[in-house]
Amino acid sequence: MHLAKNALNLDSSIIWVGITNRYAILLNVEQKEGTTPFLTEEENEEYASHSITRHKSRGKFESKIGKLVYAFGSYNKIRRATVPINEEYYLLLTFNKEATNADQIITKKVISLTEKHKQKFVV
Amino acid sequence: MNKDDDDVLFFTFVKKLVNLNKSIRWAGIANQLGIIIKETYREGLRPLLTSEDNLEYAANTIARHKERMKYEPKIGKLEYTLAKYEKVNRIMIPLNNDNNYLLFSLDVQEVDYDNIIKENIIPFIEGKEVFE
Repeated sequence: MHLAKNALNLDSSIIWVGITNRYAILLNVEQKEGTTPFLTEEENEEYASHSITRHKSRGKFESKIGKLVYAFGSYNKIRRATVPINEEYYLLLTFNKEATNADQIITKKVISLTEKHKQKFVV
Repeated sequence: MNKDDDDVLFFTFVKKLVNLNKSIRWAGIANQLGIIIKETYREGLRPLLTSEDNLEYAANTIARHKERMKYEPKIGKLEYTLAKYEKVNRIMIPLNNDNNYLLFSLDVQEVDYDNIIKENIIPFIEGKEVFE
């Protein structure tokens, strides 16, 4: 899966990328060289599971407010985002704290990339 | 402080907050159970969601937040969450040690939410003794 690697290289502030399916199984994970993971492998799996559960609960008002483009959380040490690839697959991203323009990175770079790779992820 | 005082303070808070930036559409304060205590809309706004929808949204948002707290010792305390939809941006900021939550929505065209939160919203919250 080149998507995770390519996503990791989109911006210097992206330090971790995961691809998960709708059953919250992490299919691929990439960590930026020279960075220390904040979470263990097990914690990342649990994080993926929670992210997907949360994502499903966000769809309730879709007919009124539109589809979810992405979800984002800013913490004291890092920033995280969940970006749907299609209805079955999701890209999970971790940014370092320097990522103050996450919206631009996600909407201009990440979503353009997921659009290109979309057809490889069979629904 | 009695309940009536709280009521006035919360009402003043959300009213002032909505006027902090022209892209803020709606603001509400929820308690730990995800129940909206006070809410207000930008003047002249045609809301996308009803008050009942907002109640459900608040309950779901606070429930989702509680799942995230597990990793705070490793990744730090949550500053805010944002969900960007095709028609609106929805934001949640924990207040006074997770006793209350600020929920607000921004026009979808607004991309500079991080700046608005850090430059307008957080300083405003920090200046309010009701959330100390």
